Amino acid sequence: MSGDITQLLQRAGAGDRPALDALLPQIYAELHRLAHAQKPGAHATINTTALVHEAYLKLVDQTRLDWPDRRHFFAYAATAMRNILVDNARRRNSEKRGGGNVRDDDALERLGGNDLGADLIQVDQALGHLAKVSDRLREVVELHVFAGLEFRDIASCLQLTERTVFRDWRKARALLHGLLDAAPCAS
Amino acid sequence: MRELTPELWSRIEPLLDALLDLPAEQRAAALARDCSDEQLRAAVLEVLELDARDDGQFDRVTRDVGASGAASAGLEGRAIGPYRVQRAIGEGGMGAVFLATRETAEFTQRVALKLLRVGLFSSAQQEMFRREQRIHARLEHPNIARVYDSGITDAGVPYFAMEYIDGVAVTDYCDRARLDVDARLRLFMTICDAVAYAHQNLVVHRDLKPSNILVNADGVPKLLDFGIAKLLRDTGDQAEATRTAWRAFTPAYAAPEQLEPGSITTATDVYALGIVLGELLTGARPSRNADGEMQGSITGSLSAAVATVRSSSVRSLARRLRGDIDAILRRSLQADPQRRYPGAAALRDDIQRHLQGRPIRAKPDAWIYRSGKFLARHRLAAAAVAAIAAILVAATLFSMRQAGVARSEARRAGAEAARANAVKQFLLDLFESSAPGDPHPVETADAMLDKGLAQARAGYKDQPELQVDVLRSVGDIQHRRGRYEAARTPLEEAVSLSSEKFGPGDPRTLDAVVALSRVDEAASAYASAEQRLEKAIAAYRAANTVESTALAHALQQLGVMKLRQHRLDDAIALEQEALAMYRRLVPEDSDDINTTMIGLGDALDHAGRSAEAAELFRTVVARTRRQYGDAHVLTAQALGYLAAPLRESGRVDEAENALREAVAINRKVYLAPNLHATDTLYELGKTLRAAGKYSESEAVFREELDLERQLFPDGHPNIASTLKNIAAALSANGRPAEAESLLRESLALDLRLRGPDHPYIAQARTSLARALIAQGKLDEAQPLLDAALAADRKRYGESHASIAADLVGAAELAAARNDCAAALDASERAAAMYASSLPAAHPSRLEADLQSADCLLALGRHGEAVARFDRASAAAQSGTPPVVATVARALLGLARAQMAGGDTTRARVTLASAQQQAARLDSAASPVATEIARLAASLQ
Repeated sequence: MSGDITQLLQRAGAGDRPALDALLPQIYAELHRLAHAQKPGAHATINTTALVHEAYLKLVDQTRLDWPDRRHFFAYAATAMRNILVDNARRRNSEKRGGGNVRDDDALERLGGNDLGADLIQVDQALGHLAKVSDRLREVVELHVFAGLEFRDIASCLQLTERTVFRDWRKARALLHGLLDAAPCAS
Repeated sequence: MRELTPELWSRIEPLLDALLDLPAEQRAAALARDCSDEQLRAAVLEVLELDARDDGQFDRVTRDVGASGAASAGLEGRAIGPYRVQRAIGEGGMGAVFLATRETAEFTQRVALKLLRVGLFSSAQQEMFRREQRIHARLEHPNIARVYDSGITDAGVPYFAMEYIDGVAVTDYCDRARLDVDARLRLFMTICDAVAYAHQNLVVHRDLKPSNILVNADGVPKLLDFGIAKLLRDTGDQAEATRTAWRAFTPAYAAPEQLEPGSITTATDVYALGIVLGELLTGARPSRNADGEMQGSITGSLSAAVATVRSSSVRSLARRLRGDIDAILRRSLQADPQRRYPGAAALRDDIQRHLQGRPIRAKPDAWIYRSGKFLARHRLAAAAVAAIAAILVAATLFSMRQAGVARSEARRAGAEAARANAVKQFLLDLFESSAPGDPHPVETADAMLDKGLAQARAGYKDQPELQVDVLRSVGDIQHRRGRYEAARTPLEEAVSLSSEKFGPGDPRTLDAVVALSRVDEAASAYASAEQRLEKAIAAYRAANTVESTALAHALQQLGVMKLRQHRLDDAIALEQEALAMYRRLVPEDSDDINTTMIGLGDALDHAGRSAEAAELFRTVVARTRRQYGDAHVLTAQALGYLAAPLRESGRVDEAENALREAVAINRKVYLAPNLHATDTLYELGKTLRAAGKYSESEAVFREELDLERQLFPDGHPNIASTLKNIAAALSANGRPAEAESLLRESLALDLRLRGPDHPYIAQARTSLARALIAQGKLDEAQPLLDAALAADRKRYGESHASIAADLVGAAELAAARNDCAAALDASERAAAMYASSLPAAHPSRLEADLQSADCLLALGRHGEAVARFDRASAAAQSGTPPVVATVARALLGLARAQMAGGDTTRARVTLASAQQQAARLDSAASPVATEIARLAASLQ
C-alpha cells in the first residue's frame, strides 16, 4: 500500500483527479487510527503535527516524493484532520443534549472539551467562509493549524517565500477573528 | 466582516500586504496616503485591528489543536525584553521559538528566543521560574545549548534566550550524511554524555527527542530545552494546564511513567534516549506494546531506503542490529524504570562495550504472559478502522519477514514461548489502540481483513509457515474484536493448513488448535474446545515422544476447559501435568510457569482447596514481584487472585492487605478505567464489608462506581450492582435515605438494561423497599414488596430463595407496623425456604433467622428466642469469613433475650462479646453498634 499511495500522490501531483479522490479516504483513515492510538486518559492533547507526520511516514515512501507532491499529502491530511476533529466535536455536542453516549477519547475530551468543541465547530464554519474569500488563505490555515506545518514548510509546499506565508497567516488570522466575531452564538 | 466578498478582498489585500510590513506607528499615515476610498480604508483598518488582537477564539483553537500558537502570530518585529523578534523558526509543544537579535555595542547577538505558553501570574510562580533558570544557566557543556538569559514579559509570558543552533535534528543529520551504524553510535554516545552531565547537575530533560537534539554543520550535537518540561509542570496551575492543554512532553518519546504524574527520574531520560537510538539505527521509533516496552524485533522496519542512508544493505544492517543493539534497546525501554539503565552514562558505557566487542550488560527481556486469565477478554467495541486493514496489507510484507526472523530465533532458542510473533503483536497492537465510537462501519474492516487474507494466501502459497502465521493473526484479531465466527474461519484454515503441510502431530498444528479452542472458549463452547484439544493432543502424542511447550500449552488450555465445565479433578491433574512439563522445558522464571500456576491455583480454589491455592498464588505473587516489580499490573493481578482463597480460608486480614496493595498498584499503573481495576475494587469492597468496615467499603465501591461510569456511560449491569453495594454499606451505617436514592437509580438501570420481567428486578424492588422501611416510609414500601412477591411467585412457584428474600422484607414491614405475629410468620417461612438451599452460615439465611428470633423476643417468647439467637450466633461465627455485623447482631439479640429472660449475668458476658464485634465495625453510627451501646448503657 505504501507504493500505491506514493504513486497516487505522484499522479495527483500531475493533476490526476481520480488519484486525488482515491487518496483522501486512506489518509483520513490513517489519521483517524493514529488519533485514537493515544492512551486514553493521558494528559495530552493530540499533536496534529506529529500525527500528520506520522501518517505521512507510514503511508508514503519518502524518497520518491518531491515537495509539490508532498503538498497534496499535507493538504489532504490537513483537511482530513480538520474533519476528524470537527466530527468529534459535533458528536460531542450532540451528546450534551442527551443524544446517546459515545465514549470517544480524543483531543477534545482531554481538553475538557465542550467549550473547545463549540469553538472548533465555529472555526470550522469560519474557515468555510474564508475559503470563499480566498482559498489560498484557507489552505495556509489548514496546513498550519491542522497539519501543523511550520511556515517554512508551508512555503516549500506552496512554492512561496516564507515571508509571504507568514503574511498570509496574519491576514487569514485577522479575517478569521472577524468572521468569528460575526458568527452567531454557539447553541 | 460579514460583507466581505472576494472582490472587496482583492482590493483590501494589496494594501494590507504593504502595511503589514510597516511598523505600527507608520501605518495610519501610509494608509491615508495610498488609499483615498473611505470605505476601503475603513475595511483595511478593521483588518489591521483584528491582526493586532492578542488572543482570540481562533488562537485558542489553533493552540489547543496543537499546532501553532497565538504567540507566534503577531510577534514579528516586536520587542521581548532586550531582544527583537525576527522571525519564527519553529513551533513546539511548549511554545514558539523565534530568531531574535540583541544589539550590543560590539556585535549583534543572535539568539533563539523561546516563548512559553504558560502564563506566570503569581510572584511565587515567577520566582520559581527564575530559580529554575538559574539552574539551567549553570549547565555549561559543549553539547548542551547554552541558556543566556531569561525573563518574563509584562504580560506574564516567560521566555528564554538560548544559543541559536543552526542545525538539523539528529536523525535528519545522520540520514543526510549517510552515517553508518558505528558513526551513529558514536554520535549517540556524545549525546549520552551531555545528558549524563545534566543528570549530575540534577537536571532531567524529560522531553528528549530528535527535534531537541540538533546537529550543526560541524557535526556537533547540541541538546535543547533541558528541564523545561519540569519547569512548565511546576509553574503552571494544573487545572489551567489541562484546560489550555499544552503538553510538556511528546507522547511518542514518553516513558510509561510520564503519562501519569509521578516519579520522573533520570531513568525517564534513558527511556527517551532509547527511542531516539532506535530511530537513529532503524529509521523508526521502536514499536512498543501497551506497557511501553519493546515488542517485535528491532529489525522489523528495515527497508532498502533505511539501509541506504546507513550506508549498508538491509541484510547486513539487520545482522548488525540483532543481538547486542536489540538487547540495549530493550533494556532502555523497560516499562519499569528500575529495570532500565540507571542513567545515560550506563547506557553510553554499554554501547561502548559493544563497540569494543566486550560483553554488554543488558538482560534479555521477559516473555509475555499468555493465559486465560491474563489476556484481556473484553470485546473490543466496534473498532474497525479501514486503515488498519490497509496497514495489514502493507504490513504483511514486512511482518512476514519479521515473523520469519522471529520463528527461526524461536527455534534456536528452543522455546515456543517466544511466539510473541511479529505479525500478531503488531496487528493486535493496532486493534488494542483503536477506540470505540469509530465512525467507520465494522464491515469495512472485515472486508479489508478478508482482502489481507486473500492477498496473503495468494502471495505466500509457497510459504505455508507464513500463511499459517497470517491466518492465525487474523483469527486472533477477530477473536479480540468479539467476532467469534469470523475468527473461526481463518483459524480453522490455519489448523488444516498446518496439519496438511506439517502434519497433524506437529507442534505448530497443536498450537493452531489451541488458538482455535480459545475462540470456542470465548463463545462458551467448552465441550467442543475440550474435544478438539483432546484429539489434537492425542495426535501429537502419536507422532512425538518428545515433550514440547506446545504440548504443555495444550494441556494447560485443556485444563482450563475442564475447569469451566466443573470437572475439577481433571482440571487440577492437567494443570499439574502442564506445570511439571513446563518446568522441564523452560527456564524457571518463565511466564508460562506463572500462567500455569495461576491456572492450577484457580482450579484448586474452585475445588475448595483454599490453603493450597493460596500457597500457589503466593508463589506467583513473589515471582511476579521479582520479575516485574512492585508496581506492575501483573503483580496487581496476582495479588487479586490471592485474595479469594485467603478469604475462603478465613485469613481475611491478609486478603484485605493483598487487595489493598493491588488496588494501589492499579491506581498508579492504569491510565484509564478498565475491568481489572473495577474487579479488584469489588473484591476489596466485599472483603471490607465482611470485616465490618462498611465506611471503607463504601469508599471503595464508590471508586469502583466512578470507574464503571466512565467505562460504561450507557450503563452496565455492574453499575447496578455497585450501586447496590454502596447502598448496602450505607444502610449498614444507618443512612437509609442515601441508600434509597442509590437503590432507585439501580432499579431504574436494571429496568432499562434487563427489562421489567427480569428475575433481578424483584430483588431490586425488595432492596429498595427495605431502605424505605428503615426510614419509616412504610406506605411506599408496601407496593414494592407486593410487586416483588407477585413476580417471584409467578416465576418460581412457592419456594425459592428470591421469595424468601421478599418475605424477609415483608417481615420487616410487618415488624415496623408492630404486627409481630405476621412478622414472625413471614420470617420463619423465609428461613425454612433458605434452609433447603443455603448453608447455615449464609448471610441471607442468618438474616431470616435473626429476624424471626427478634419477633420471638418481641412476642415475649424468651426461651425460644435465646435458643434461636444462640444457634444463629454460633452459625454466624462459623462463617468463612464470618460477617462481623451479622455476628454482632446475633450476639446483641442473644444478650437482649437473655436479659429479658432475667439472666443478667449471661447477658453481660454476651454483651461484652457483642461489643468486641461492634468495635470492629468502622462506623459507630451503624444501627447495630448503636443498639449495642444503648444496651450496654442500660445495664450499668
